[in-house]
Amino acid sequence: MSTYLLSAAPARPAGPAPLDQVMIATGAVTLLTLALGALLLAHRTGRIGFLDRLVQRAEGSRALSGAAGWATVPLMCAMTSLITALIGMYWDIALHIGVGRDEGPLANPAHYPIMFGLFGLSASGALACALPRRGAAGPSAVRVTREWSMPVGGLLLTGAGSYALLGFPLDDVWHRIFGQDVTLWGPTHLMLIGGAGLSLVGMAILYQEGRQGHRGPAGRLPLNQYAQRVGIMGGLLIGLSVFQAEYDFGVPQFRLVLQPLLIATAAALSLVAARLWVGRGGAVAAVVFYALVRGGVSLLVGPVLGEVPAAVPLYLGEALSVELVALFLLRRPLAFGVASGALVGTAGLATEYAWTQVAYVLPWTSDVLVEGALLGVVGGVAGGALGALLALGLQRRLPRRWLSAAVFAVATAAVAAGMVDGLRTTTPDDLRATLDVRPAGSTETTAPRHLEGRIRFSAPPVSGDPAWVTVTGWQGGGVSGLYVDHLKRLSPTTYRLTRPAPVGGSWKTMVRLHDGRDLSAMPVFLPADAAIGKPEVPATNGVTRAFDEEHLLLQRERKAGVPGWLWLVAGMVVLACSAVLVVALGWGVSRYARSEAPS
Amino acid sequence: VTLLHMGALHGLELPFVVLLCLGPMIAVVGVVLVIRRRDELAERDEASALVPASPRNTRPDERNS
Repeated sequence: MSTYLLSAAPARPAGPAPLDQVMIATGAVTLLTLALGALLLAHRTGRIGFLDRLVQRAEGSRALSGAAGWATVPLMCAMTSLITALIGMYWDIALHIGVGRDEGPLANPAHYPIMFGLFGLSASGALACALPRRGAAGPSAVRVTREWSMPVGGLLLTGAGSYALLGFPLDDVWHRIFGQDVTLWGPTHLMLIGGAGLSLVGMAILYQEGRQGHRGPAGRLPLNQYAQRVGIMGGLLIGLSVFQAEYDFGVPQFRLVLQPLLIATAAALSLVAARLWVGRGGAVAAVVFYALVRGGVSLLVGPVLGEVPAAVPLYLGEALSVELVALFLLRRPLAFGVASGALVGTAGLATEYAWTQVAYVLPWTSDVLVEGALLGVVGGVAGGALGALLALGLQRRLPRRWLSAAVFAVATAAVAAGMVDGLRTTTPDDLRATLDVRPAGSTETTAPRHLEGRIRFSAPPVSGDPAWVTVTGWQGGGVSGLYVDHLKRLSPTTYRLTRPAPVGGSWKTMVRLHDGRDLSAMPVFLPADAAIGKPEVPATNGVTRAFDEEHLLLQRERKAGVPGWLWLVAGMVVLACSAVLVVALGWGVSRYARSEAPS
Repeated sequence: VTLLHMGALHGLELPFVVLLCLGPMIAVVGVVLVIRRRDELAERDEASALVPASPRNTRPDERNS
């Protein structure tokens, strides 16, 4: 047997934050908090007129007219902050895929735009709370002093931003307990994404609160107000789409059927709300906004910053589906939401099926068609109902309280049930494979090297058309740090590499299988990792290895032996925080919708 | 001994965690508290301006009511 490897990868620490990084970060946020507090206090006590002049200037501008300046100024700050955080998030994910784990919470440059973007989001909410003068925030506002009422949208924005930020330090605590979880769907990572994405609901409410007293002419919205609403709903689509990022990059650690569920839910929720709230063409316009911003971020992270590029869902078929249903059912919003969601989950996803064949590293296959379509319909219908509720709330047309609550609860539970189904995986029994490989091309002895050859399985690894049978290498470094090769089937038990696979250096290269609920992997090469006490797994010709749960390889840094109750407690803490956020957003929409409309 | 590393935040990390997560919220709450305090002081000043300084300055009808 020949071992084709090689030099050890440089050690990357796997522990918590170095203290110098913590000191820098603490100093920065202390200064920012003090500056924000001083600014807001000076405004409320009348010592400065700067913010009042800014508000007046916003109200005088053509682009921002139609809503009070105390709402549009924080909204602009929040949108800028969100886009900053979005760039950071995709940059961060690309770095993790192409390079590997962080050397500390602040050693990764992408964490800075995330941190300052999310802080800016929460600070925008604080600004929205402080800006309105006496009575300006309308009847849904929350009174805090004799002459000061805070818009509920501002409170939600502050809370959503804080919730997202809470994921940042909790992530470090999580790493101490469980080890680093190099996956987007780590619980604390979901807090970061969820808080940022759902802050758009708070922004929509804030916008509506700022609209009070700014009634325009009846009929179609002026172009600038149309664009403002499109920006908020397009932003909501972007926020809800971040959950799909592992699929966009081509290294999902979960079943492929979850991708249609996520796409259908995000599309139906955002686009149904857009069509109802924005008006004719609103769904398509929201997708155009999405494509410009999200596509721009992909271009920035990929070609400009030189990291692993990410694909983008098309969403055009879903938008056209919503616009089509609107021709018949717009007068019955809940029915419109449900019917649109059903069409999004079928016809809309059919266009995504075609799009994945062109644009995605891991295209959808017939393996995911039936279950993916079912989950897509569940996600679409639930998302459509939630989108309709959101739009009705923003228009103060919510149905009776019990009906709203029931629709909200059932739709949320349906999405959760779909997620639970998608997360359930199995591992094939006693499946092994033998590496039949040799060096490819260059005869250099330094890492990385490339191998070509075949993989011989102990039994047929898949039945029929699988979701994927690949050799995947990642964390090899930079833009070329990801390698995914769909193996060519030579016989039921023999597959061939179609291009040389990288091994050595920091590459983590493995055979990945996904067929039905089976999700497993077998190492081809893993570097020695002193920080987590793991030895090298060499790429040895003729070696036979067993398949196991793939997260054991993809999340090699996770600590073994952590008791199950600790996972449960930690998961419940994150779940409780998430439930508080979702319920708070529901309360905010309801409070605004049921408050008395100004005459 | 720290149970499973939980809560092993360094002294410097605690303010970082609190300020980063809750900085804007703390700023708003701080401003609300200051404004409320000012309102209370203003109300107290208004009330004391309305209350007579001594019984000698009070009119007989007010004294009986």
